[in-house]
Amino acid sequence: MGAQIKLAIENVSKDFIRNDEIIQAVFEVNMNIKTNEFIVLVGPSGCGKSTLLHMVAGLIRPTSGKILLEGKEVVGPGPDRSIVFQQSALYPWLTVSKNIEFGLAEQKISKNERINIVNKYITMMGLKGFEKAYPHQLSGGMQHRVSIARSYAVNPDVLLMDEPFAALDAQLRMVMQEELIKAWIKEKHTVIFVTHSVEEAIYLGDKVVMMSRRPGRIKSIIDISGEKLLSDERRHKQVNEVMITEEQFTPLRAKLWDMLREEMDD
Amino acid sequence: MVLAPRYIMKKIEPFIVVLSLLIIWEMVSALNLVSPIILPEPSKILKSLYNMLFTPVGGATLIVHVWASLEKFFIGFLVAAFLGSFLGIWMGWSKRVNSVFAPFFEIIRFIPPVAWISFAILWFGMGLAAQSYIIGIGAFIPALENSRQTIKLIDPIYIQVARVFGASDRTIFWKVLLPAGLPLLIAGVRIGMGIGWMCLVAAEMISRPTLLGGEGLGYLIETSRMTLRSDYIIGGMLLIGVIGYCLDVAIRYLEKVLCPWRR
Repeated sequence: MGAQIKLAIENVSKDFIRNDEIIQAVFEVNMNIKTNEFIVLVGPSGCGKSTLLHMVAGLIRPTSGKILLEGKEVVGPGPDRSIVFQQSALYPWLTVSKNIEFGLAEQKISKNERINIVNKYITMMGLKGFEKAYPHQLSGGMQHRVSIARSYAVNPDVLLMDEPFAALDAQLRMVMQEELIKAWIKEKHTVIFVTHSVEEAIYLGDKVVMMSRRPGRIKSIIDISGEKLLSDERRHKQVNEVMITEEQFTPLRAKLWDMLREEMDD
Repeated sequence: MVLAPRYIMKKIEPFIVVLSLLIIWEMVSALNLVSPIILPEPSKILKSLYNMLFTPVGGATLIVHVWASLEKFFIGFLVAAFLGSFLGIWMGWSKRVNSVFAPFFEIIRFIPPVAWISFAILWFGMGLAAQSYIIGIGAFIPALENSRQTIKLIDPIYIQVARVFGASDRTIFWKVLLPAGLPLLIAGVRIGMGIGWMCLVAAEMISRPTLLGGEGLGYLIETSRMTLRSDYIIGGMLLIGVIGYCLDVAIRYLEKVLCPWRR
């Protein structure tokens, strides 16, 4: 049973113009992402990984090349791809419930069903009791959970995460990673996750895509799903069972870290 | 010297300057160091204010003056706040609209409202409309300027998020830009309100320049100037200050009600 190609990135490049100078942010990236795969993009800062993610989201257009979602070219943002930004980017004037409901309001879903969906994610993200709170009344970690719930709520085919936990402290980060895996096991999502943390990449990903420094291109794709369990199998397991063991983790981290360091040295 | 305990001092402190000034002022006047025309004492001003409630000055009692001022203020201010915010938002939203109107307002904004008096009379005659117009000009520019900046200052990520969820331009305007900008919008209206209220005296100087009839606090001050009633003048000034403060408190309260997400 060969998994289908969900997302195809074909020869995608992106140039920016800054002070009359052309900066190549992303250069000829090719990648095929299968349905329900968990892809993690790692690379040195400024390597264009966020740019690539924003192109998949449709927020910016590639200078050349194509991004195909189930064979159809991506030309703009859409609710089939939901993005979680580095900042929680919640609307401060909406309560927690209303923030989560925001994306749903754009879809043709009855009010009752919307409330059900919102409640489901409020429970899943441990936000019960805070439905009527405004974002500024929540801790940073809770704000992130609301932000993630908002993205889950629209039930996107592809979930894009742009260093979503970068601003969190170490403990909270662990908790959020676990929550993410839990949710991913329960829901069906294809995930593209950007991080600069090698540990996070190994912990979360089926495949780790290592990017080179600018102009960002793919240096190598490391399939670590074999070291853990295959995606489809992981889905039936409990969180602690999908966790990678210490013996598997250490060499992987060394390998990835070496690759990353090569890109950081001059 | 024995001072009151600290906690009492803290309560008194804010009033010390005002109270001392009032006491010195009262004493200076009571000792006849200056003529009451140049500086009437505070107690006399309060008494005069009270008397004006029953005795008409310049053809109207105090309540009528206050009401007349509020009426022209609200007409001018409300129209200006609405038009200014509306146009400002439109200019902030559309680069094209902005480029059409911006040069005009870049110049208009430096013309003081008082300078409009002659034209206000020419266009509207010497009545309520002309006076409201002067007040409106004062309130209009800050409302416009703030709302124009508001739209530009909104964090683009709010719009990106909405786009990701497939929101239309219309939804983005009503559900994202407007609530995101509301606090700043109200701030602009609030500044405009202060300036508009301060234009009151100028505006009312063009009510009827006779001693017979005419209503409003500015008119009260003008007419008292001609009769050398310093106590009425200061009383009128004081009332303008106090009412201005009350209006400001009201709009701050409105902001709290309209923007409950702000602490």
